This record gives sequence, structure tokens and C-alpha cells, in this order.
Amino acid sequence: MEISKNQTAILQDFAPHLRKFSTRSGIWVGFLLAVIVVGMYALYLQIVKGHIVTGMRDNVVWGLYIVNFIFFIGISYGGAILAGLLHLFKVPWRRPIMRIAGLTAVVSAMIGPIFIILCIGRFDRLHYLFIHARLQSPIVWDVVAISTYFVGAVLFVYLFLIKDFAIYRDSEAVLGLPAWRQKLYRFLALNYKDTASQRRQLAMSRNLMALIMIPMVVVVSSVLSWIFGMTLRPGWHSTIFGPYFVLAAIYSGTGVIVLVMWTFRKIYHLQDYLTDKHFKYMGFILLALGSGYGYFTFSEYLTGWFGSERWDSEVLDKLFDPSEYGWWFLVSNIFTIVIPILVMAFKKLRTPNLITLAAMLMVFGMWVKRYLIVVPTLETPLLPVQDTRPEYIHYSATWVEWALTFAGFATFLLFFTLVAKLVTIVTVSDYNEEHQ
Amino acid sequence: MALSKIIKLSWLLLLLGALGLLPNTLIAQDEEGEEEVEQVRSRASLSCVQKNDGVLDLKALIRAKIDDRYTGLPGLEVEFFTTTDTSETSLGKATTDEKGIATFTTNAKEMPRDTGNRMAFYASFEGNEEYSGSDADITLKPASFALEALEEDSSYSIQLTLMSGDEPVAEEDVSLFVKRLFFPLKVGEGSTDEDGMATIDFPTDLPGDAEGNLNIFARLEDSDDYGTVEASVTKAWGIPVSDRLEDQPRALWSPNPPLWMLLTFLVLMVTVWGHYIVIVYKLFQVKKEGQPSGG
Repeated sequence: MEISKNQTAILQDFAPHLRKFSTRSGIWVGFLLAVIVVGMYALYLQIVKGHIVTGMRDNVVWGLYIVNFIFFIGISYGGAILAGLLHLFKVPWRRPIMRIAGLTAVVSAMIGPIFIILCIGRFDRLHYLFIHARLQSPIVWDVVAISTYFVGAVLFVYLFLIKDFAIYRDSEAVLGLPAWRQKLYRFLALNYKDTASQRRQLAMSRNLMALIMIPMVVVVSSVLSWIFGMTLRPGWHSTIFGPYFVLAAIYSGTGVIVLVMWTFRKIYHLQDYLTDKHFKYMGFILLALGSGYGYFTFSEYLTGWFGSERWDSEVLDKLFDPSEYGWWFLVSNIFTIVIPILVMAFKKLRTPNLITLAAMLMVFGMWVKRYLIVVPTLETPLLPVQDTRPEYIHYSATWVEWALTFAGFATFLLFFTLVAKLVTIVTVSDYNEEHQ
Repeated sequence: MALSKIIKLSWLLLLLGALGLLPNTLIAQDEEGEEEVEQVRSRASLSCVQKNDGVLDLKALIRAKIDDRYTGLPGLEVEFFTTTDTSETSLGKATTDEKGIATFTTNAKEMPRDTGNRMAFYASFEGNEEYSGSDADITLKPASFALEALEEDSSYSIQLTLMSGDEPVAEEDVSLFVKRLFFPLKVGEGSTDEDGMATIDFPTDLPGDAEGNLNIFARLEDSDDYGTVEASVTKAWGIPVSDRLEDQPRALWSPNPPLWMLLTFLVLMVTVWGHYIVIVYKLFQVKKEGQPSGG
């Protein structure tokens, strides 16, 4: 297909990153692999000895694994919906962000469900979930939703890669890639030659996919919240849990996209592509989402606190009590609500570094928030506890769970590192004219 | 001064005495502990359930005090005997289950009686390396229930007659139960009259099996003279509840989801996967059009 001068120039910028695997990259990948190996050892112990090596017991049957699952799958939903919206509304500054958002969606969707597998005590009964599935169970809804979503996310990202694969295929001289890479791009480019008909078919497919991704993310994100909301447990049984989760997912996903943007801008020197303007616009999105998230949070806890039902109060007391989860609850709310809004409120603070710092604190705060959703409620059982061993009442994650948590984060970073060696981090095909 | 010295001296002596005694006490405790480790004393108790047609279930419970609690000992062999004033005949052996109960089934009709028409049984656990031996006995008269199920209009009742041989058993408290999944459900109680009879009303709203069958049994519990006496009858007095999945109503709790839920699920699935199929089809078209011959 015909490649414009502008696109060739971009390819020349990215060629070294696609072609070479620097020593620095090697050390980085080696470090990530080391973290993953430690995680694998922890997993081996967990399989051999059982879940006794985790902090999960009777009562608190979910811990770090479920927290990480919600965290990663939320990021994925955020990436997907942001990419879908930016595309549908033809937002002019979307070009360098679309690819990052799409890749964030797919890579996170690969990591999240792994934590569910880690949380299942009996691997050998995993297939029961399918052969004995009950359609009334929110767990079954979630399994179906996540599988369907994952296929959609991969397809969605692929649709936005086909043109680029065709460009990589036809830029042998510029990129100078090994034969196997050329062969791979040729296969993935689907004979795309940018004919009028092909362009039309692809454009239609992209629009259709973006259109379906948005409601789908809303549904699957709500389904995730209903795993909690459909129970009668205090802190979970809430009618706003669906929209609360949807918003939290988009919010944390947007935050991670900002972090990825900043990282690639720094390492690949992409100041010409990911400009200050992009960070500012992403910051405004964070501001809007953060305000909405703050409103939902206030509404959720105010309603529970005002009503002061016995069980609700018991959980809320734990969240407000500094000797229990009070400090973490405060940190979570400051990081997720106050700091992002403050940074965006003042013009002087709207710099890429500060916006990224706010996004980083927000993403951490959102992880803490997921912990505060899962654990305190499970530590407050509705039935009186007969066997009152301390570890049954209070959850405390073990090194095995932490090792696997860090291994999950390392896998996320490893996948991103490897994908960035395979495709350009900006969508080359979108830069037909001179980029701004 | 002298008095305070005496008091001080007494304290000192007391202290020395306590210190001197303490080690001895510890040693004594250790020795006792070692003995306990060698062999724990077991205790036996024997009970009997008399059923229809003279069937007798002899149940020997073997227990021991472990961690200050009496616990049933599983896997032990218990021998059962029937005894008279002059003889002791072995009936057979049985092994205790996880609750520590060994059950031996025999028939009252074959058992020797004394002059008062009493049967005597004896169960013995010989002991092993861990537990000392123990035994227990029981003496009882034969007794049986005759059950008659009465249906009048739409109400049900069970008329039971408790007899010991040809003699009616009067003034005994009897209960009516229905067999359920885990434990029997008590549905009524009464007392036998001078003819050994009692009539107990039966509820009409109990769930039964697919045909409405209920396994009803009458029980005289742990009587001094007769032990436990039981008899059962099966009647289709329950509300039929099918255990077939396809017969269950559409509900949140049943295996069949509510129709709206099924439809919502299907609509969502068809919409989303329909889009995927259309898009994959379009990608195939893109590929086809790009082939040298086609495009």
C-alpha cells in the first residue's frame, strides 16, 4: 500500500525500537522475569500445599487475588471504553492515544482473569462452572461477560492494527526487520492494500466495533459489580454498585493510560507525538471522572452512614476507625478524589509530570479502594462466628499472595514491553497528513 | 520481736516447703501422664432398637476421654452376646463406625428369654494397645408397633398399637417422625392408652418425593423396659416434589432461570456475538479483496 512521507518519517522514528532489543530492555525484561519466577514458586507452593499458604480462611474467602482481578479488569474496561469513545467522537487529538488505550485494554484483560484462577482452590473443578452453570448466578454472568469482552477487545484492537501491519509489511527498507517479522506482518495485514472497498469495509468494522464496545463495557463492568451487589452483605448490597464500578473502571483505566503515555514518552522520546496538550486533555478527562467518582463515593457512604443499619454500621465503623481501615480509607479518598481534582484545578499544576503523578497516586488509591471493598465486608459476617480464630476474622495477605500480585504486575509490564517491540505505540496509519 | 521472727521463719519454711514439694508434684504428674499415654480407659454403653418383625439393632458405643471430652472411637471390634442365668452365647462381631458405634442386627424371635420374658445382651470390647477393654449390658422385653394409616376427608392420622408379645403396653410416650434428608422430622406425639393404642394427627402440607411418598415412623424412645422401639410405614401423604430438573418451576432458586432472564441473556449474547461475526466476515472480505487475483 502507498505510504506517505509523513508515515515513513514516523516509521523511521520508531524503527530502532522495533528492530533492536537494547541492553537496557534486556535488563528490564530479566528483572520482570525474575519477579515472575518468584511468583511461579509461590504458585507451586500454593498448588502443592493448598490455599493454607494464603491468608484466605473461612469468612474472608477473598483477598488480594480478587482485589487484583477487579483492578486489572477495571483498567481493561477503562482502556476499551476510552478507545471506543475517542474513535466514535472522532476526537482530533486521539491519534497517539488510541493504540495505548487499546493495548492497555487487551493486556489488562489477559492478566485480570489469571487472578481468578489463582483464587480457585480446586482447579480440578473449574469445568463445573461451565457444565453445571446456572444462569441465575452472577458468577456465571461474569464468566460469560469477561470471555465475550476479551474476544471483543482483541478484535477491536486488531481492527486498528491492520492498516499499520500493512504499512510495516510494505516498509521493509525503512524498518529492516528480520524475515520472520515480515512474514508475521504479512499474515496479520490480511492482504490490506488500502483499496476503496477495503477502506470502507475496515471503517465500517471499526465503527461497529467501537459502537458495541461502549455498551458492552458498561454491561460487563456492572456484571462484575453485581457479584458483590447481588449478595445481601453490608458494604456490597448497593443499587449504585453497577454505575459506581463502571465509573471506577473507566477512571482507573484512564489513569493507567496516562502512566503508559508518560513512560513511553520518556523512554522513546515521543515528545513530538505525546505532547503536553495530550496530557492536559487526559487530565481533563481524569478531572471529570474523578468528580463523578467522588460524587458516587460520597453518595454511597453517606447513605449507608445516615441509615446506620446494624450491619452497614459495622463495616462503616471499620472504614472510619483509624485503628482498623480508617487511614487507608482516607488515603484512598485523598489519592482518588482530592489530588486529581486539585492538580487539574490550577493551570500551573497541569504539567505532564504532575498529571502523571496524580494519575499514579489515583491508580494506587483505586487499588486500595478495591481492597477496602472486598476485605472489610468479608471480615463482617452476617452469621455469628463460631470458630473465632483470629485469622478467620482478620485477613492478612501472606508472602505467597504478594509474590503472585507482583508477578501479575510484572507480567502486565512484560507484555507491554514485548508488544511495544512488535507494534508502534502510535497508530502510524492515522498520520496521513503532517502531524501536529 | 520474737513473734515477728517466728512469723518470718514460718514464711521461710513455707516457701522452702513449697519449692521442695513443687518438683515432686511435677514428677508425679509426669508419671501419671506417661501412664495415660500408654493406654486410655474406654467406656462402653449398649442400646437396642426394636423394629418391625422382631428385628433388633444392638448398638454398642465405645468412647474414651480425649482432651477432656468423651469421643467415640472408630474402627474397634466389638463382640455381642446374648445371656441367660446359665449361659452366654456369642452372636457375632461388629466394628465401630466414625461415631464409635458398632451395630449388630439380630432377631428377637431367636433370642432366649428369662422367666419374665426378658432378653439380655452383652457387648464387649477386648481392648488394644491404645485403649483398655470395656463392656456393657442391657436387658429388655420384646415390643413392637402396629401402625395403621387413617384417612378421613382430607385429614390424615396414624393409629399405633404398642404390644409386648400379647400384652398391650400402656402409658408410654410415643412420637411420630418423617424421614428427611439428614435427621428425622418430628410431626406429632402422644401417649398409649390401656390398650396400647394412640392416635396421632398427621400434617397435610409436607413435601414428599415425586409421587408424594413419605416414610413415616413411630418411635418409643429409650424406654427402661423396651429400649427404643420403631416401626415405619410409607404413605403418599406428601405434596409431590419432583427431583427432575426439567420439572422444576422457573425461579431464581431453581435450575431453570426465569424466562425474562434467559431472554435478556440470549438477546445480549446474540447482539454482541452477531456483531463479532459480521466483523470477522468483513475481515475475510478485506483479505479476499486484497488477493492478487481478486483485487
